Amino acid sequence: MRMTLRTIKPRTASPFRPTPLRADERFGIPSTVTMNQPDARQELIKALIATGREDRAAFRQLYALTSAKLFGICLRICRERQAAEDVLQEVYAIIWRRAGAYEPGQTSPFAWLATIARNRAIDYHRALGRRPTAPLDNVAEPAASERLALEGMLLDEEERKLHGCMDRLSETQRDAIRTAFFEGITYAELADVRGVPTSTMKSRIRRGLERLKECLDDDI
Amino acid sequence: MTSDETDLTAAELALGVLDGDERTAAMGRVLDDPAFASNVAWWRRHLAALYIEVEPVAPSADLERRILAFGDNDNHRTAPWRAIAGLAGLAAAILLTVVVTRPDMPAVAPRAAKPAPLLFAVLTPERAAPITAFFDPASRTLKLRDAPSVKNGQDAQLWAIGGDGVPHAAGLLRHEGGAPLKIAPQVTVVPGTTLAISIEPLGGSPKSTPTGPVVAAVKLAEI
Repeated sequence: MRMTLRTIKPRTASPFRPTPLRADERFGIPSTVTMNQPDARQELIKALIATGREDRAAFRQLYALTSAKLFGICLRICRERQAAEDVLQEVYAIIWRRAGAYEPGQTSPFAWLATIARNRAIDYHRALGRRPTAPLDNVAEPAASERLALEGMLLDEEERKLHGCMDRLSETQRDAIRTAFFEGITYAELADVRGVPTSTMKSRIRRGLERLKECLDDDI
Repeated sequence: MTSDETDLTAAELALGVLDGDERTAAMGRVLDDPAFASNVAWWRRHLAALYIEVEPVAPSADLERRILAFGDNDNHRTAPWRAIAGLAGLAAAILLTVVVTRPDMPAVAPRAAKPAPLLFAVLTPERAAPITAFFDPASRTLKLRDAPSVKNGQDAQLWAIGGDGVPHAAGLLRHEGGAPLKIAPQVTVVPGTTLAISIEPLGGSPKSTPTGPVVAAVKLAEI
């Protein structure tokens, strides 16, 4: 694997961008990250496709490449380690059984895997009803040496447009969409958390999504 | 993207903010409307960029062992009992939900010393999220996470098809609750039994066999 370990700092976007973005800023990645992306991406695609042929060595490799990130996603939504572990086990059971259905042309392998993790985590905590309200910041523990450098190399060019477009939203719109995404919560829960009526939260997110769509539809 | 600019339902579904009836209706549209389905996929793909910000966290070594044991049975090897115990724990967690929300359901037995191997399958209705199914031979309960979306006036019905090729009605699937289905003793459920979902009139098929389209079918296997 030609992946290097790298940490991407959380983006701290300013609400307004008076000047046009450079392409690398628009994609939300440092330009230095782009060099070995295709190789890393190909490795992941190969591991996923081979897993689809029930190649257990490939499944191990896929696990090594993706488990910390997928666990991070589950933990963020479930907020409880035990629940997140149950979900992660289910996620890899699905990956093991369904990897054969992955179509490389349709979406990036990481987006495919991460979507499974997020949807399973959301289903899980919604099936359980209200989840406990542990403070979010106390949940994540940094993974040590095997921390993955999936970041910039995981998404294709089209998929990287989002960050630049998020920067163009108002601060409240961006906050609402990000919180909904990361916490996996509904309009009503989101409205509760931010102390506004549900209708306000709905129109805030819808306006944000509308602007995102316009921006994402724009050809670079 | 040429679809109606004011219709953001696909984005809302992909973002996950819809709940209850709105979510059910949107998931139904994914089934009925290919343009809507690809719209949802388009949003999911773009929103995936946000995952980059999620802090990676290493799962425990114990969980790693359990997950990497998947497929042991596919090679006709003995499943490590850890994997089984782990899944029994998962099943217990799932069943616990039911005990809490459905007091009329039988409580699951406490974790047994040697639980029977669970059976597992992933049903994949077209253009819809995969549905995982776990069958616990000890309690003869089948737990499906989620259900396919159906139109008003319809039900999704589960069938078990054994070696004789005859479908046996195994219950109706609902989005809410996720109650496990108790499988009648006369219905054989073993590794290799096919689970199938058909779309039926409200209340299920009026006959002893499916009358509507079969939207997913897959064989159960030990995990």
